[in-house]
Amino acid sequence: MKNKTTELDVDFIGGQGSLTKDEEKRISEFLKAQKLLRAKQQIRRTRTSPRKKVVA
Amino acid sequence: MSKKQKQTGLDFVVDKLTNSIENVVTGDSFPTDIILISSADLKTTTKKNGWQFDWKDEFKQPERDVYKLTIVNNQTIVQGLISLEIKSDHVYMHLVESAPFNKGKTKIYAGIPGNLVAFACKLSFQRGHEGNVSFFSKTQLVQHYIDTLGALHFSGRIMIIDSNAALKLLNKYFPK
Repeated sequence: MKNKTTELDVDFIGGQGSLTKDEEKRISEFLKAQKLLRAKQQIRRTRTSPRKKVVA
Repeated sequence: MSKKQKQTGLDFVVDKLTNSIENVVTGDSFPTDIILISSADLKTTTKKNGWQFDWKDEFKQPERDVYKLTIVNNQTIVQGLISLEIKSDHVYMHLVESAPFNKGKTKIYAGIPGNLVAFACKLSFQRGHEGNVSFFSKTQLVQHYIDTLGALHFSGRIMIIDSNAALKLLNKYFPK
């Protein structure tokens, strides 16, 4: 199945000021949480992968 | 090719805008470069010439880097500009603007903002920030950014392009 892509269609972005210290802090916390979640998911995937039977 | 082989093909559409912009009249694609702007470029990127933002002022901000998008082998004509700031864990996109002749229904080239946003993600990966990019959105454009960039509506007017969305944009605009 093919997914139809839509193209970004704006003439400009931004011009509404800079991030406040508080906003920056909240973004940092969010990004940290996202990173942690990805790491946990990675560990879960690794753990659930089938083990190879070792023949002595 | 057998029927079975056809079914295992790629599951997405790669459009014509990969690392290029498209002439909306002829449909021709042109490869692009994105490099730091020079003070000589600022003579043409003025409000008087139809640019919306004060790029001279943006250029003066020490913590921000302004890049220009041009067609390969034609670096004097600026097709679009982007202003970026490297934060501690992501890249903040201050401004993006298409050249006056690339705006609205009469634009000459399409794909400029998409290429510039993908470049911001690329820079974020290069700086070790895992592709994370943030920017402010107008309320009415939040859904458009979700649909076209895969951005997350973080809160209020803040949008975030996370690693997954950044990777998709990079694969679309800067394929290896």
